[in-house]
Amino acid sequence: MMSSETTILNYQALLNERKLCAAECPSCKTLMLPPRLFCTKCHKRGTRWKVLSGRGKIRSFTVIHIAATTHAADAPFVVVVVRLKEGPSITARLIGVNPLKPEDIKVGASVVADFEEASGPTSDQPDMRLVFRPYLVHK
Amino acid sequence: MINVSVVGAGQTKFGRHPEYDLRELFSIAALGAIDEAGIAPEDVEAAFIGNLSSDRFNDQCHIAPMMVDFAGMKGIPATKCEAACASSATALRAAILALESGLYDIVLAAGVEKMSDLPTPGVIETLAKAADNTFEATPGITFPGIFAVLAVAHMHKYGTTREQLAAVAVKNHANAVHNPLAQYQKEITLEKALSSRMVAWPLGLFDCSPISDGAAAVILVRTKDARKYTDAPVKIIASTQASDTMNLCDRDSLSTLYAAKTAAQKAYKQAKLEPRDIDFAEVHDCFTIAEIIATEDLGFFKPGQGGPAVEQGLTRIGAEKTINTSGGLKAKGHPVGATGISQLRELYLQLRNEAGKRQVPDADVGLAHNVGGTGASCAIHICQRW
Ligand SMILES: CC(C)(COP(=O)(O)OP(=O)(O)OC[C@H]1O[C@@H](n2cnc3c(N)ncnc32)[C@H](O)[C@@H]1OP(=O)(O)O)[C@@H](O)C(=O)NCCC(=O)NCCS
Ligand SMILES: [Zn+2]
Repeated sequence: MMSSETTILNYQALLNERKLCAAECPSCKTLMLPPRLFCTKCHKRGTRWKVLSGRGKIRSFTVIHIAATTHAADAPFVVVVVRLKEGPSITARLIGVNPLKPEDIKVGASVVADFEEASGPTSDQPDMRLVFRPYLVHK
Repeated sequence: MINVSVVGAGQTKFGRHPEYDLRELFSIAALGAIDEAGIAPEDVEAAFIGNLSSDRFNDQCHIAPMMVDFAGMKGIPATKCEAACASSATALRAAILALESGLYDIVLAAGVEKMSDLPTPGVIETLAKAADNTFEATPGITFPGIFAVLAVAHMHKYGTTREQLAAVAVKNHANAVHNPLAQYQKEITLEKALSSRMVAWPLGLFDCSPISDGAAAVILVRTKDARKYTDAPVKIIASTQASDTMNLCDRDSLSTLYAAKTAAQKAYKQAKLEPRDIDFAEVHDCFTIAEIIATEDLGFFKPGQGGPAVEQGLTRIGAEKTINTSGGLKAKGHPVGATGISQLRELYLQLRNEAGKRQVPDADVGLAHNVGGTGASCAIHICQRW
């Protein structure tokens, strides 16, 4: 999978292997997440996958109380925009926090990527989805 | 410089309209504009119609020919324009460009949306499709959620408060009391706004524009012909549009909208004006935070000063910078595809001294700021009194 084309389909396939990857430009090394087929900076082709650490910081967040029909059963839940250590930024759910105590969630707090089974369409192997949880330093 | 003028404007009342079909809403607004311009439906040579999602809201695609046929304009070229909540400002821009091309002399620009056919979670789901479905809607973000993310970033960066957000709602509800076509013609108190139930933290019910049905339309001609139709045409002197990434996560800043800033800079250049020359503006307050960010992106207040400005009353009618005399999306209502033209209609009324109790004294120049989706589209128009 790691040598595959940096398409959105393959990004999901890598998530299913519990790997969070960005597309890397072969020339200027720009990292792109969501992945792209061309470099946003120098427009080069031939982007390749690079596995990310999953570590990052919260840029902003919200708690969804009134959700779309498709997500209503999960509400309330937290959505975060995270700046990853390697540079790119991505939007996902934040788990392991109390959605009813948003004041305890802080912009700038450290989080780490995790993978959860997405309750999705009827396939034998459900897709994994990216989530974040608070990064706790072990004492 | 743009050489197009508005010679007629029409609008339905915004709100829930179970009694009307989409085409009926459109025809009420379109014929209102046509009557006011003193023309007949047959005189209209082309129509551009904004609409976000008739396919999901009303199970109907390809609405433009259906709309013009129903309103007595069968046969003319009719085109739907879609840019999420900025759909009808892009329809307006398409109409302006069509007139500027010299191909037509009389063009209709309109917008229509009927959202209330779906239950609320269905509306929320449909609107979320105007964000990047794969990367942001699928994790569960909603439109209130998108603007809540911007609110949290703005609060973190500048210390903007929930009270300042609520002040936007209180002001816009107060303005809408004087707008007979507004969805909510009632005042609300700061306490009520602050204690409303959560929709997407930190945004509560009164931080949100409502679910609305409605239509708005204008008749446009070239400025040199405008006096043939009315003694008081309203000149459009700038029309600009810009785009940005769909995803919030792809943006450098979450406390400003790049497309709005870009479109604004181009608009001021086109009109040879500066922010201080604008007497009043209709801005896209789909959520209270959006009005605060808009007044900063448009250069009316410095970044971070939009919150204090509304709290100090600087954006009330007749104050330093009058914002959203119509009641804004918050209280006038937000039938998404109709909003851009409805904003233009408010400029038209104000610049003809026809805005009644919400009239801005001595208004010569007005601006309309219409944002689409996550801010991935923004279209801006500047109008001037004849
Ligand atoms: C906020 C929202 C979820 C509320 O919907 P809801 O929970 O179904 O609310 P209801 O329709 O049941 O209304 C309950 C009451 O609140 C009022 N109300 C609903 N929305 C309101 C709003 N935005 N502002 C003020 N009052 C509102 C209703 O009039 C009703 O009052 P009543 O009981 O006196 O008749 C819905 O308005 C919404 O989704 N708004 C955002 C729309 C949006 O995203 N637009 C695109 C922007 S880019
Ligand atoms: Zn590159």
